[in-house]
Amino acid sequence: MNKLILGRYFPGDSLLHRIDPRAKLLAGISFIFILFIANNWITYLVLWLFTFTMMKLSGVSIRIYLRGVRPLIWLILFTVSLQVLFTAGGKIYIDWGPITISSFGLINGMYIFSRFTMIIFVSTVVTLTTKPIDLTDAINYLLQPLKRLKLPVDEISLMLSIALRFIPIILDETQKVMDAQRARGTVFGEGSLPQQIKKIVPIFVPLFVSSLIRAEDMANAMEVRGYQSNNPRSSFRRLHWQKTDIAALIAMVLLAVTLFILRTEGHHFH
Amino acid sequence: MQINLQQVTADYQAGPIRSPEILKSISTTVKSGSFTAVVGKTGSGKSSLLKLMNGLLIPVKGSVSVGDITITSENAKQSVKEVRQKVGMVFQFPESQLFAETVEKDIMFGPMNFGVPEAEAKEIALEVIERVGLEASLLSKSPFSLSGGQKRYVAMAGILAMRPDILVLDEPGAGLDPKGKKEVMDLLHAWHKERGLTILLVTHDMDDVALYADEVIVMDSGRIVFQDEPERLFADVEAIHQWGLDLPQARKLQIRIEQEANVTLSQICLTRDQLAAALIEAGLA
Amino acid sequence: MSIPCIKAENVTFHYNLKKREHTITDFSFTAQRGEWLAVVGHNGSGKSTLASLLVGLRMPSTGRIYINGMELKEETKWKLRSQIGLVFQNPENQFIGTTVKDDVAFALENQNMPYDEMKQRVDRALAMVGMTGYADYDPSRLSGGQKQRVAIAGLLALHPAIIVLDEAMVMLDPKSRQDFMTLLDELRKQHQLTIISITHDMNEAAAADRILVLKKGKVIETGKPAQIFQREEREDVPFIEALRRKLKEQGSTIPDKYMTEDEMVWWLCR
Repeated sequence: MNKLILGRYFPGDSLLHRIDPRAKLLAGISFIFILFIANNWITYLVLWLFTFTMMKLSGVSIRIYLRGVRPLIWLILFTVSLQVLFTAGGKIYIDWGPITISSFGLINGMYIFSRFTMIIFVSTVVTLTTKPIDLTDAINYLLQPLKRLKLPVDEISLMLSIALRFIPIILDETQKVMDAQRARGTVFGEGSLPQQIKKIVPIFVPLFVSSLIRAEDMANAMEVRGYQSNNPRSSFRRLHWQKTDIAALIAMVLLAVTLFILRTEGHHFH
Repeated sequence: MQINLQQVTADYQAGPIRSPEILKSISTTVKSGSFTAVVGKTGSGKSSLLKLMNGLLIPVKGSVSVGDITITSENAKQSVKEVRQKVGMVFQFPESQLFAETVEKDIMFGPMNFGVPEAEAKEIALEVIERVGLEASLLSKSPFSLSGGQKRYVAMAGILAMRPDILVLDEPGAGLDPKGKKEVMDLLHAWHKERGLTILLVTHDMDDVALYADEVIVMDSGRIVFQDEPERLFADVEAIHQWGLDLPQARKLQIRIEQEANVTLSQICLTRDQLAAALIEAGLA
Repeated sequence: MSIPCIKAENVTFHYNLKKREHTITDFSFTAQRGEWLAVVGHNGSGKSTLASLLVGLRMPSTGRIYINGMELKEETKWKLRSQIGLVFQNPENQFIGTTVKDDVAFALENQNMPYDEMKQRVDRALAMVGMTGYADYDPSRLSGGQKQRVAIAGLLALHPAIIVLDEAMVMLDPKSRQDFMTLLDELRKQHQLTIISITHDMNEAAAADRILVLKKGKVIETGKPAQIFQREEREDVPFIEALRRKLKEQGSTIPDKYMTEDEMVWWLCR
């Protein structure tokens, strides 16, 4: 549970930490699209350079990023091997009917692998350098146009931010309940699968009960403090768009342009 | 059964947060049959000290001995289970660990984890529910249908059911009204007196220390800075302030009276009765 | 005499389902501006139900509650909520914001207040409770006493007339409790706040101007602390009264009437 790095925030004061969450979110999303421009080794090289630069700029050690990829490595390898095995063309090394290992297959596999890991790295960069609550603000801001479609954007983001506030509290509480049941002789991570599943009940029931109590208290607290779901609310949280944020977006455009120039015409590589 | 800590250093980890050296080279002995209070500011390491004695926190350096079992960082896996049966741990707000459909099943959970057969666990449940002063008819009820105070007693019964020799508790009276709190403390005191149960409890309430404890441990920044009788602790007002502690109500009033009347009472008064006696003896009242 | 700050007239409340315990029967009282009122009673006496009635989380089955002369009912409750605030027993569950300052601003956002005014009020409210240095903290990382200070700041930002404390000091250690009471008393004097403190701590009740004793949903006694605590049949009394009784029992000549700590010390030093 503690191994997944994606979605975690690392406090810091790097250049990336200071960029407006909206700019980071937009840049992160646009990176995913930009990835698809790349189609030869030089464009992938540029992307890798970009990715590493971002990772360096975040001020978080590369080892932490690698740890972040580890839980997903089997998923990545599976997809890559499908690509390798089912792409034909170029020099063929092994040929078992529909399954072949060809030079195109290998190259394609490398590209897929690169895409996957770069997406993970870049989105990790975004979350590692942005407080979850700032990210919520950014999502709220970017979704504002959807209000025209009568989507309750503000309610959704308030819900998200409350959920975010409760995650550490519930993790703390899980730890406490687990300790309490350990003290009553439960040994976690031992025994057969059904036995292990049975051990979840003494954790889950208390957590469920306390979450319900919390939810009721919180609903009351919100009502007493004047929260009405359909009323217009102002926002105390401010986002400050600065020059660096514009620069960040320009950098993404430049990246896209560079890739367009360097990419191979057409869809096949030679 | 006594507990002995030798040069124990421990880190604490909860989720992603790791606090290195929450306990720094602690050595102490908790005597068999004693009633010891652990006090100290928030974050001084009190709760960690309790967890150490129950194997929920493993020393990085040094060793924890409970009777003839010793926990070190090397042998933790085997020793911890034995220790947990000897040392019953009652957490803060223990009622939040209740989960079973009936009170009886909840109480049986602990003993059965330690391999007690079901029939025997049932007998134990009946015995301990009475020991905590609840009626046996509650056994068949859902723990969630009980009042706050009753839930706490059921949770404590669940720990007693493991027949520990030592009971460690983290603020057993927290959140109860004064009457409920006094009942819990009196019950603990009775177990201590009548059955010789060794008790170690964390508290913020200095009146509890004054009324019940025969020994007090003061923690400050991960170290034990004092361990002796409560009278000696509360005699030293300056140290009390330095460690961020409070005085029992009687002692606080005693100091005020002594200053304003410019007298010195014959003894350090920790309780109302002691103060009343000393005031009469001094001819003030 | 001016309009009382808060007034309840023959309020009765019962849950439809559980008729037994959580009921209020024929409850009446008034509190003046700047008054500190303590409501005491054992668990199950209906104290918490009373709190939820006073802040309009529940509506009386019969009878009326007036806040500054205006009746509290479904149509007026949103308007009156800025005048009456509630502090809950468990500080953890009442926070909505992810940081201290965001939380203090929550009720202001609900009023759709412009940013500049919010900023000013939040800063001021935090200063009033001495928590300015903690504006950017995560509320769940604060100590119990600090949490309740933040909760108070969240109410003060609205410039309320009345603050209801629902066993708000139960979770605090004796020292923080003392500090918190001192703070409340100062705020009350500076801002003419009416404080209604629902409690079972007799030392806390002794500090009030007036005490209401609640039993099974009914007010069985009301009066100044001296009147309430002097009655011999009353068992739970503040420490100072317990001491006086003990002295009397031991044959002291101490007067047979309730004394505050100051009065007792003065008498002893005479």
